[in-house]
Amino acid sequence: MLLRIDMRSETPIYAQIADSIRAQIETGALEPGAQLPSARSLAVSLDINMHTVLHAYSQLQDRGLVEMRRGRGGVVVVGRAGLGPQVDRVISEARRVGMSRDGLLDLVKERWS
Amino acid sequence: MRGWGRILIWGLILAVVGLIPLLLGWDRFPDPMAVHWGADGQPDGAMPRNFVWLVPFVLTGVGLVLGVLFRVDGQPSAEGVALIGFFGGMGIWTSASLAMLNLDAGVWQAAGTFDLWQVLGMVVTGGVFGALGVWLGRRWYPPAQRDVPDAPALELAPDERAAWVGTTRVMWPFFLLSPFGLLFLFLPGWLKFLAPVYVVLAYLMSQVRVVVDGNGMRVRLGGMLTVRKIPLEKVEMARAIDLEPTQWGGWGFRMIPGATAVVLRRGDGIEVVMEGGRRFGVTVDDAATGAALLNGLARRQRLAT
Repeated sequence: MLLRIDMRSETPIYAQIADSIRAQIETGALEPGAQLPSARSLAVSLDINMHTVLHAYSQLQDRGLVEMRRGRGGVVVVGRAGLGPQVDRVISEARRVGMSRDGLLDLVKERWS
Repeated sequence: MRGWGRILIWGLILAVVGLIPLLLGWDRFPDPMAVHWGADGQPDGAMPRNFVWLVPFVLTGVGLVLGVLFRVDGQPSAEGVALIGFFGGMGIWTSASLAMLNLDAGVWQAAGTFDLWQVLGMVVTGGVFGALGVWLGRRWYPPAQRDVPDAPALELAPDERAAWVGTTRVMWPFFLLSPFGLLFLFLPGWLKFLAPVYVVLAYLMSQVRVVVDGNGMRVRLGGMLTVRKIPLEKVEMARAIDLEPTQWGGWGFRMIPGATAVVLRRGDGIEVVMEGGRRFGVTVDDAATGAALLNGLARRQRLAT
């Protein structure tokens, strides 16, 4: 798990941490079951306040990506593959009705916003 | 095989030097010659003179075997040259000592007394030639890693903060230690309580966590025991390697000449080359990212000072 914090950025530090961890879960760099470092040790590593790290972790927990376990710190519970089955279903439905790949992507982009 | 010629010649020179005192006194030695002395310092063993001249070759041979064992990536190492020097030096002293004690003895039983000075002389001569070996070895076989071009480094802004955490988990320590752990149950009395110690050891060896941050690199076993800290300023270069346990002395916490390692499995690992060429290796997933961050942090620190 790699974290890079830009101290001059407008984005608060806790958000930078949470975004970075979420991005690594999405790319598969962090897999389900991966243990996050303890808030204390990460705070020491980055020379920031421990509550900032806890804030980031609790945000990830609220989104259901990470589970906080007493005495063990955070554990990644959802992987990139979490949405896999649903996406597969959408793709096969698109194929059935003869929708092109780009057509489906456009639809996803349209619905996203 | 490039480079083995020098090591062979180095060994041969030592053996031949060791031969000189035997050749000089050859006609004045008894046959057989005294070659072994008891605890009281009196000769208690002999060997035909025609075998005695082999002594320096045998000792140098031991050094050569060790020199081959201590190879690095198929090439001789500075440590190997030093070991040949050490054993060759002991061979030189041994034959000089045999020559002195047997000189004009008439029969081997009348050979001179073996005392502490002989032992001391052997250690000192071994040490002197071992040191010569270190000097030669560093010239002949500088650690190859220093020639490696700079490994990939993460570009970091001057005030950017970064940390990388990598882990490896394995199960083998539990399987390996459990039979031994069970044996403890059959031990008498309080010794039984050593069994949990084994379980703790197994747990420690089953998980390694590596942290790279502004302080350098930290290696922890079982999430609690820090076994290695390398400050940034000591880091010369880090790289991701395909760690082969046999090249690092095996599995577990290893120490080989010029290097230490924490080896839990085969494969992905970080190798850190420190000032003076000392190396540290650790098996950890996603090693390339950790190594690149360590290089980036070390480089930024070097530029800042």
